[in-house]
Amino acid sequence: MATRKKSLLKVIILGDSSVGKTSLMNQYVNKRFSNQYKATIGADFCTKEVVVNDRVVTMQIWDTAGQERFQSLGVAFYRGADCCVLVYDVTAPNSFKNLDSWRDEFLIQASPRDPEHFPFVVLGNKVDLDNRQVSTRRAQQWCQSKNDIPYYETSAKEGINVEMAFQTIAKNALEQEAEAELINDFPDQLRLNSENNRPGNADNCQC
Amino acid sequence: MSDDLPEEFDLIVIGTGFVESCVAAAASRIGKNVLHIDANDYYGDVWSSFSLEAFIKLLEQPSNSLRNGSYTWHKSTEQEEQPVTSWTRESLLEKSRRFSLDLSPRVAYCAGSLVQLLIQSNICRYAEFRSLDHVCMLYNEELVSVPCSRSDVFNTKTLTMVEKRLLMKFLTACNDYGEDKCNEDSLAFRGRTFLEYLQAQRVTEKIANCVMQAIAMCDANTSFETGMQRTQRFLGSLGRYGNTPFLFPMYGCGELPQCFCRLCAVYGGIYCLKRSVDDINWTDSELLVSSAGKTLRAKHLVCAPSQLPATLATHFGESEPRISRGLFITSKPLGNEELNKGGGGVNLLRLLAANGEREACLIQLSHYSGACPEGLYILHLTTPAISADPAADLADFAAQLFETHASQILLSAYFTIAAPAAEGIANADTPILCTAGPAYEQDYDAAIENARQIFSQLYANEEFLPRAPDPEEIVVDGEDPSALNEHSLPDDLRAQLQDLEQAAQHMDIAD
Repeated sequence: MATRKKSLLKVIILGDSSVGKTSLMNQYVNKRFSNQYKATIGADFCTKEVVVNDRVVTMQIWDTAGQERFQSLGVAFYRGADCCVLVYDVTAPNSFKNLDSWRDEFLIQASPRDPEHFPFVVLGNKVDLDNRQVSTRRAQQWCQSKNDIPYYETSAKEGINVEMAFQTIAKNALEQEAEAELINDFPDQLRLNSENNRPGNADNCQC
Repeated sequence: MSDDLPEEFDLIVIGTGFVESCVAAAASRIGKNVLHIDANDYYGDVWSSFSLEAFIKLLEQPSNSLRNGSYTWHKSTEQEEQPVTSWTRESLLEKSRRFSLDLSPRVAYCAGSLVQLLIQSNICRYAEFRSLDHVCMLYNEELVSVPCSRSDVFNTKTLTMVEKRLLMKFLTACNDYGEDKCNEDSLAFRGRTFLEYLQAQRVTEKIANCVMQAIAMCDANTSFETGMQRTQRFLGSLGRYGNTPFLFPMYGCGELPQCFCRLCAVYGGIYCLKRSVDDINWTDSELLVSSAGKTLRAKHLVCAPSQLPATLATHFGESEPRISRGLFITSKPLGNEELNKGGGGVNLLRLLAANGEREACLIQLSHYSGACPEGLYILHLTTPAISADPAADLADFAAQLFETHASQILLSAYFTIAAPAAEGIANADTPILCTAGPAYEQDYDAAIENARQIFSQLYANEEFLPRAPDPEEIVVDGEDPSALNEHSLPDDLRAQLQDLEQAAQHMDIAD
């Protein structure tokens, strides 16, 4: 069972409803923003190829699909995450306070091997709005207290800092992946729709 | 919890077990407005997987659908100087969350109903699987691997040269059965038993065992047609993924309902765990669900038997024992090194008792299944319930496993999965559609059939879980006019796209 270099990074986005998780994802991947989505409908996951340290990797960004609205994200959502993005709305102090419980929830559900060093990235979204309530300093302090989580202030609407934030996310996810590779987690797992799962040799006979 | 839950729905589904989740996803997929709730704080109901701690807690709290729970911690069989294992109760509990202990574990045929449904609906993008490493059988009290592929047959040391040839010949005949080139001789066995047919082929006892126990999964009374069907199902699932015809979901079967729920949510279904139902009433046109001081209204309602409010449960008949389950955590896998190469994978063994009248299914999981910590193994033992005492129901099977095969058991647990009888559900005089609860089966045929049937009862002419497009394929109206669609493609590219689509369709139905 040889280790296989995984070139697919799973990134999950967490945070209260309507902090802009889907919009951030859409801004980053599709370069577009819409005021239309109130609650997340139809948002599943997006994939984007990124170059990190001269290596091309596919980043798969998973949205909550609205299941966070009544605290009903199942453990399956968290499986195998390489990086967790915590989003709050700088105009909604409660969404900032809840970062603690989202982080805890992630660590419990995903139970990463090394919770101390698992890569999180925090995004304070909607900086384009006037009625800001959470100061940069407060957010930075919180991030520092949690093992120096990288922090970005973004606007999904204006596209501010989104590219840069996700570049960091990809980089940190890949580093996490590099460490996990040494441990050789589950080298043989299959995805059903992919052709390359079929045995390579001519052993496809039905006996 | 701030409760801005909407109050009117096309469909309310209560319980997040496999069947309910299938129905919820299918309804949401065709644009119905779905509320999916569960009284528990986890997905999956009696189809769920649990951490070690949660599992033990569950056994201590009997419910309508899970009862007769018991568990025992076993001390290391201490030959004092040489402790066989360093695992203790404490060290197991410390890794509690590394366990994913299934209540209703099962394997899926690579070309079976579950895999077909997952691919057809594109829900497969949410799930990962492990191909089973070995299909085993007990022969002369020895655990041996049943050769599955042609190279397996060539390489196996289990069979002699002559036996190999006989087995290949037999399986080829089974595979051709029903086709034009079908051997006339085999037609004579219609209406007789599969065992008679097998014996007439003059195979050796070992091969007969191989076929009966592991490949056709038959007993002495199984009809010729059924035996043929099952053999073909086994053979038809070979060569698709991995080396055996079976798959097991990574992290356990409890992941599967969640995959369906995610699709439901992606299409707008609303999810609310920890939400119990106090009562259900109805008028001619709608159902009224009282839950946490609110009245939720829906045109239709689907409910798991385990989550029916007490006032209504009587309509559907008493819950009775259906499946007897044993779950063992060990520090040593069953069988020799050959069967557990590199720490083991996922192995399947079908056991027989009472002269072949009763059967049980054993699934052994190593940490490569994602369901337990490294160095430990989970043994899931399942048999149709014949009493309210799961340990007694499984005693004959457990004896075959553990008396002759030294295994370092650290924890043994037993429980019963109960559900109302099918007649009760069908005859209930209410507009509530009740799902059937888990049955004893390989794969998910009965469960999927149950979901399909409920769905067609609700939405007669609608398609059941048509393919959900991948995110890249979705173009939101008016958002990006420059985005490509099929018609704006140049002709050659459009032809290519159509070819691809056709190829994709062929993949789904290939067998």
